[in-house]
Amino acid sequence: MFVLDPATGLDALVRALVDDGYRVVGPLVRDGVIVYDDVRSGDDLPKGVTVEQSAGRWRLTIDDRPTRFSWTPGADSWKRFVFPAHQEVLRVRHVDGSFATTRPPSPDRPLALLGARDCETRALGVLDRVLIDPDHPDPRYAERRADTFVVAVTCGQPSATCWCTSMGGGPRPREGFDILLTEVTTGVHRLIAEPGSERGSALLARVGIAPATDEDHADVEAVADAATSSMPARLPGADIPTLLAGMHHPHWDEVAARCLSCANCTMVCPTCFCSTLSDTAALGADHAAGAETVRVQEWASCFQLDHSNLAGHPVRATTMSRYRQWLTHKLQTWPEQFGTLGCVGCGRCTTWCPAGIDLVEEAAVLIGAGAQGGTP
Amino acid sequence: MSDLNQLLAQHAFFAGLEPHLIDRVADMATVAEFPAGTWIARRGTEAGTFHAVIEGRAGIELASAGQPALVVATVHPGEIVGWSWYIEPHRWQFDVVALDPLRTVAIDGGLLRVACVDDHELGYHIGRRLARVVASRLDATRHQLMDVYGHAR
Amino acid sequence: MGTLADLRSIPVDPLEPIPYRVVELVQETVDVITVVAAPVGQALPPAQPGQFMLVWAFGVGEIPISVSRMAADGRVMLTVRAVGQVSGAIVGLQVGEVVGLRGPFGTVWPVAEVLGADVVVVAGGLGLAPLRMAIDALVQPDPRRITVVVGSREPAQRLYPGDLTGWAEQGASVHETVDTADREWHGGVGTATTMVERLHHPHQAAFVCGPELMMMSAVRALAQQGVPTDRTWVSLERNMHCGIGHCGRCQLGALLLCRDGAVVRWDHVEELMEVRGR
Repeated sequence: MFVLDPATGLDALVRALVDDGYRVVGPLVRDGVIVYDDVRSGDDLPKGVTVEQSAGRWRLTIDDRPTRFSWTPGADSWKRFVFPAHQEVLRVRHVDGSFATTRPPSPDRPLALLGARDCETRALGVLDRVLIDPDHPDPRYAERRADTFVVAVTCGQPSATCWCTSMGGGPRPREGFDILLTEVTTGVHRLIAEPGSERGSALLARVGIAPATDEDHADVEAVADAATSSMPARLPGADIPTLLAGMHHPHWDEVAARCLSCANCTMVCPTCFCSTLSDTAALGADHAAGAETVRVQEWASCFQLDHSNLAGHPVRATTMSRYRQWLTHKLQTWPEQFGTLGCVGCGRCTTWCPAGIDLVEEAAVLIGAGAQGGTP
Repeated sequence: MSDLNQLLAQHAFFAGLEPHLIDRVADMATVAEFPAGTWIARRGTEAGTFHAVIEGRAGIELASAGQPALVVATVHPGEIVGWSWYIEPHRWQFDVVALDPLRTVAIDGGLLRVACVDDHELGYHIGRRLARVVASRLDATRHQLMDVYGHAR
Repeated sequence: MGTLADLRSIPVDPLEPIPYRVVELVQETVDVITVVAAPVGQALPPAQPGQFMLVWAFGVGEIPISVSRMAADGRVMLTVRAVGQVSGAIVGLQVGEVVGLRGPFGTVWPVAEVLGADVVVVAGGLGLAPLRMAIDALVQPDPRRITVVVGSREPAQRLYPGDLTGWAEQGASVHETVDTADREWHGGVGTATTMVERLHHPHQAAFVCGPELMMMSAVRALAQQGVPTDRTWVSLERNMHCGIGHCGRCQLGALLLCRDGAVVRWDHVEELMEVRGR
């Protein structure tokens, strides 16, 4: 473990990653929210930012404190860098009475993700399980993920919508990172950095100013402990899949009456992976219309009417059935499909719901009924 | 046991009836034969007789002016043609035609109806069997109404 | 992260269609055709009974179609009805034109597992297409143990009438039924379920494919006749969109039907099938 200065150390870290050929993506304050985008120096990163979140509400405050990671994430997640919302899959061209395909060029640089929370590193792990399955790994996703460098951050000030401790996580990431930073504000303001991989270790040796002491270790634990105790366990986590019974529970209709079927929850979710493939004609000066077609993959949502259909007719024609699909997939059927929980407890779906529907509260009602032996 | 008794006892509709009840039904029954294409029943006429099909297929037909007659259900060996004899106003609701050379046991519905009132044990067993036939035809009709093959697959 | 780095370059793109040329078109009914397609270059692996392929019409889109038969030279037979934009484009193909195929995908009718038992196969409408290779495989070794029940809308819409005659000639017991007919029709008029209820000899296993309402009704009748639900398989359809369990579109409960189906054991889906809008 090393100690980094919150200003110069962070800057050195960003510059070292850039020098090593990474496209460094990190938090920026833009249009009044935290977004993830390209950063070139430590100065690009937020300073003195805190975030207040609740169902349907996200507010940012900037003060003159020097803190770098006192915020919680916005709607943005790292998903869009490894699994873009819109990506070209193939170009197909008529050639000699048949067709030939070309793949889009590979990314020119590997990604470095700077400032990923535990919920976010786990979300990447969940996506890996879905998209890099042994039978049919997604080559585009795998290529982006292969060399991704992850700088994770201990979450010092969770928001009211956070519930990672119920979903197998906690403020301090345990795996899935190359470097883990913990910001300590008691005593001297500093970042304690621990490596999670050999390349992380090598990089820290270049930018760290001093090895961490026992006191630094103790402070890291204290930051994590304080964050954990600020987050009440809201649901019985791993037991949810079996508790969430009741396909005919009246509460599905109750929540559907409030749900706008807008798909926000699925778009901000860092693990939602549903997508759609479509063809668009490529129009260019060098070839006639219709000679080439581009296959495009875009994010899709189970809240879309045509998401699941049978011969063109929607299978889930009501908001009730679509909300039920979203919640049961996320919390109940995902483990059977992919061997992991589908939810990481980040709370984005609750924060960014325009109707303020709190997934945890809804699940609690449905679980309450399940535990009492509601209709299966 | 007479041939007629045996035919009835082995027919799926009457299977399981006590021999003395089979005897009572047999007293009201006779074997009937219809060449293919001949009528077994005509819509609107008195439903005096019903048939337990032994061999061949009977077709229940519906015809509407200006449209060709359609067979909406076939009745096969082991099944019965007709329950109008049991329910007021005791008139056939459909035309029934022999689609193949048809052999049936024709049963006098008027007599059986009286016997069912007389002997509630017989009435219970016949009524229960008829309910099963009606339920099965209703289920089939509901599924045919959905025109499932008109959609995908 | 070491394991991820091994995936830096994956040679096969599961989303990439392979060119196949249309070599023959068989008009099955007024709106159903079978496209016979041969590989232009490299062929895909042969489809097993019940599997489907994703068929891509240039510039239009892609839909799942069950493989109704494979020929030794790699030719694929795909039976399709024009209901939407993509299926319309496929039905409108001319001999010599090229389509893109991906696959084969999905689970397989467990033919080997039921051989030796008395098996009843129930097909409704286009549901006969995904069952065709399974019936071939069942009838060939032991036709007398195989019963085939086929439901269609009307006599003119029967699929593969030549196959039905062939299977019967080989010794299988074939029963046909339609929703309505005229007097010339040689089979039954009624539902496939009604026809199933007429079978008097017991069966120990069943393969069922057709519209969901028809399957649910037929399976109930089969269970009544003593076919165990864990020896009954059905084929379920949704918009299998990617074919590899990545796009999430074809979910039914915990099943990703493109990966865990289309052929599924009835006792695994029975409860779900009763829920509307699941």
